[in-house]
Amino acid sequence: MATDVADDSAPRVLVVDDDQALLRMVRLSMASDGLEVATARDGVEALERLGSSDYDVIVLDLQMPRMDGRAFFREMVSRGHSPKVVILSAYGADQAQRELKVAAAVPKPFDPDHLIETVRRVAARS
Amino acid sequence: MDIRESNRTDHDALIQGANLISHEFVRILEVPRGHETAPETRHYRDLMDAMGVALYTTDANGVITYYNDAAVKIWGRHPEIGKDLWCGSWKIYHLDGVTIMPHGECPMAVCLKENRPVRGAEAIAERPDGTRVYFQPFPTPLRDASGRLVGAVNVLVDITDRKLADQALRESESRLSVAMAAGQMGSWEWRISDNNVTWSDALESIHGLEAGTFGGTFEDFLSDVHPHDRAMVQDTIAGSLESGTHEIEYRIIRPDGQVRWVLGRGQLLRDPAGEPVRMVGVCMDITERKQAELAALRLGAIVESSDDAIVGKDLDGIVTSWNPGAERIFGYTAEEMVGQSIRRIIPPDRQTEEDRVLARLRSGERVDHFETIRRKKDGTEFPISLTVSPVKDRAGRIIGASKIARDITDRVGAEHALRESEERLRLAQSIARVGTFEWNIETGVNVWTPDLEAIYGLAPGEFAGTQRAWQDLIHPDDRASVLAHVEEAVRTGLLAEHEWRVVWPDGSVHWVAGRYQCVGDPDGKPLILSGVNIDITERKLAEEALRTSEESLREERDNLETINRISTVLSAELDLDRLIQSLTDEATRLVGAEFGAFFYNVVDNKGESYMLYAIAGVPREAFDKFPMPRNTALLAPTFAGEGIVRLDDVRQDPRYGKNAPYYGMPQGHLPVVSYLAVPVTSRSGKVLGGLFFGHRRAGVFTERHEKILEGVAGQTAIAIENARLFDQLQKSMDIKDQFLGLVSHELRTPITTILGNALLLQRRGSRLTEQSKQQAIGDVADEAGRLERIIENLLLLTRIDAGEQVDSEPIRLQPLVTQAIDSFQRRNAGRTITVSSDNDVPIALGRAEFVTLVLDNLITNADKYSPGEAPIEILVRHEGDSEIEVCVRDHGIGLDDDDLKEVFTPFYRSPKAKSQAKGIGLGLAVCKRVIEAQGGSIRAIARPEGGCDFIFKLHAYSTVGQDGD
Repeated sequence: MATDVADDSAPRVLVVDDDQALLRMVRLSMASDGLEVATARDGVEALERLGSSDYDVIVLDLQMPRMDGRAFFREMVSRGHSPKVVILSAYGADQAQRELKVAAAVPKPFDPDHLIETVRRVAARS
Repeated sequence: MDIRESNRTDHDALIQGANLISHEFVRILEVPRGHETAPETRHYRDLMDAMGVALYTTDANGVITYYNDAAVKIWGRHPEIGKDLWCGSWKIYHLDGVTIMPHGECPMAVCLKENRPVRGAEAIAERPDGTRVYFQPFPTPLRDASGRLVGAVNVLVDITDRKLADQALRESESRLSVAMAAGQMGSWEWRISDNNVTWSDALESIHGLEAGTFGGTFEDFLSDVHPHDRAMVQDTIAGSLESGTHEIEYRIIRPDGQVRWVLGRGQLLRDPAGEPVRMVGVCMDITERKQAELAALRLGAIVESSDDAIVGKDLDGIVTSWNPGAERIFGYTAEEMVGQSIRRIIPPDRQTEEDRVLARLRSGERVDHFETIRRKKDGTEFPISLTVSPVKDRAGRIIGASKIARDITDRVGAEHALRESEERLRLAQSIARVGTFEWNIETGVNVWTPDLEAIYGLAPGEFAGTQRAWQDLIHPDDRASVLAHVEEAVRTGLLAEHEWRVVWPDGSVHWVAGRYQCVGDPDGKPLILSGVNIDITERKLAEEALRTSEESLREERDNLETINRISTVLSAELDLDRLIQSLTDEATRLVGAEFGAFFYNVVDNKGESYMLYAIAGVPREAFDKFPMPRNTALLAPTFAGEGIVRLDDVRQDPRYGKNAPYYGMPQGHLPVVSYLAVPVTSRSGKVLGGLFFGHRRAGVFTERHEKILEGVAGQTAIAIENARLFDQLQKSMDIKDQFLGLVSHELRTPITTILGNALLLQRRGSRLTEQSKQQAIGDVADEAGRLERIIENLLLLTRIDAGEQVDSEPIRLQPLVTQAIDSFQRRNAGRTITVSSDNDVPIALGRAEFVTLVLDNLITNADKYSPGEAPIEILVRHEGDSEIEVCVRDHGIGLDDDDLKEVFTPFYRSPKAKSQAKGIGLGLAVCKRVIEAQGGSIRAIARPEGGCDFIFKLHAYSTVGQDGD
């Protein structure tokens, strides 16, 4: 998966969603704003990415085939990864944020700049 | 006053005095005679010598140092001062008067050896002359100023009189009780102050009580008294509290019910102030005397009131008694006849008769029903029947005769009248079906009229004529009670009246009412039992019919009420499990079953039917160890809906215990004997389940239970169906909730993409590459298309659901397939889709936009569940000229059998599909509705090698206008 060029201090972001069109839109938005973006189409693919790279923030959809957002999150935590997580969902994003105790939630549909701002804010927290 | 009591009071005072003396004079006695320092001391000492109380002292070793004259009186000797030890008596005995008490063990010795006063001892002193004295010693130690034992003083009190009086009293009491027992006499004593009554054993025995079981109060006594006499007894005794004495005759009832006559005498004892203190008395059983008296009274009354002449005479024929009957019959008064010869009433030509009668009497013979002629005072002679019995004295000597004479003047006429009346009676009885019998108890012969035989279903003369033969004709269930009645009638001589059933030889049961009475001889020995029987079968049947109809009405009403109550419970409950549980509980209670269960048919998602149950009467855990009930031979008829099965004893049923592995009652299974099973069947005839009841006793369930349960089962079926509908509704609501989640996801995702791209292009369009911009714009278009498809599907589904008619028209399918593939591939370039088509595919009947929608849905679906490289094949075929078939074949995840049934259900998504891809379960549902609206059909097939075929068929358009492709 390609990675857009970004400045060195920019947060590294992994966007996990099963919708290709949505992934393209998010990646284009973030990359054009200077973030370092990687994408995965489901939890299984996301875990593979985590195995090879480190990410500051993971933007995570909940409803996905193969391994959904919740299952991925738990698996990730159990494997010792602790990136910041922003839940991205059309249904129950806030509830999932509280449930999984993650940094932020952005319900669909959203303004891409709002998502970028959220990711930057979350990444800036120590 | 009790002599013992007055003695006791004196005695106590004496002891007190003795104690006082022994302590007061110790000081004086310590001074040896002649060494008295004061004249008072000597004076006291003289006084002591002279006083009536025996007194002596010893030194610390028990050597007697002093004694007075009174002591000598008791001992009958002068002991040697300074030598004799412990006591001055000759010999000492224990109270039994036999066992010697050694001097060294006498109370004085004990006092010295143990250095303590000894009190309460009693002993017997024997004098040298052999006479004896009962005495009570009061030895007290003497101590000097430093407390050292220096000797002892002993006061002896002569208690001989008291002892002898006690003994005499005891002896006299025992003599009295012997006397009383012999004379059936008991004694009692009533302490008025606390109402304490003591009875002698003999009195308890008179009352029929075990010794020592009398309650001990006046009321306990009164409760034994015959109720008729109770008030009189109470009044008399109350009166004697004033008058001082009473004498009453009264009856008591013993615990065994026996009535005895008692004569009671009582004497009141007063205290010196004249207040009643106690009442003492004796009671005597006078039953025999009373009975004799009563018998005499009764006999006298009989003689007095008899219509017959009853006359006593001595062996010389001199009249000794003459009753009113004799006065009336013969015209002579008692005054005229007593003391005169009986020959006065015998006609002259019959005087020899009297000689013969007297001769027979002297030899002890009795003359029975001797018919002869006698003469009245007015001289008229008349026929008479005589019975003359000898009268004996106590020693058995014949001293005279009693003669009963009956005027039989009217008998001839009477006999005639009797015959007539008997004839009428017989006729009446015959008409009223009254039968009479006479049973001679002694001989056992039972004589029946033919009418009675008819009542028992016997031909005239058929009755065997014994009591036993009669008993055999009585219904076995009634026999014991009938015989008890007969026994009672024989015993009491009272008129008996009761009803019973008889069994005729043909087996039919008839009701009989009987009235009869037993007559005995003058000694009370039963002789004849005679009476009538009436056939009351018709009355009984009418009564029975009335009762039955009342009962069945009541039963019907009860049943309705019960069913009503249950249906209230049932209709209020929509939760299936709770419904079944409360139904099972109610019904179990209703039929009085120990165990109740409802097994209901449930179809699991593999399509297999199995049974769940609700249990009542036992905890559900009792069933935990058992496998699900199987369709055993016993349960099968119920689940086949063949009707109610009611068994009085299930173990007797051939179907019981036929199933492996248990063969009968499984270990620890509920011990069911009575069995009742009712199928619960829906209106459509489907068996929803069964109600099963059990009881460990046999024959518990009745036809009534069946009837009730039939009603209950009907209500249950409705309730179960309602509950199931409700359940389905609940499920569909759950599905709608899921649907909302899915729809919001499915709609918001494309909107997000559209919105995001639009904002991106607007804000940073200038910074994006041309390629990125084109991609973003393309995505916007695609996602808008996706949204449109979803909305189309939803709208279409709603429309067709609402029953919209589809106007079909001729369409060609192949171009539509091609267009659909093109459209799909514009959106998903990577997927390989192949088409193969039969030649000469007929024109179909349908609507192009619908077919396009179906194809798009099926291709999208196949793509969603196929791996990236797997191709999708579309086959267009036709079967003859009537139908065209389009098959969309994928090589994806495939479908399970469960899924095949549900896959066209709106919002259904198979577990596999859920894990594989997003979706709302709408596409295939829309396909089915749309295809069916066009008159076609659709099905899914899971191919064994993997992947599935979705095949829809449409009707071919009529051959007119067919267009070869």
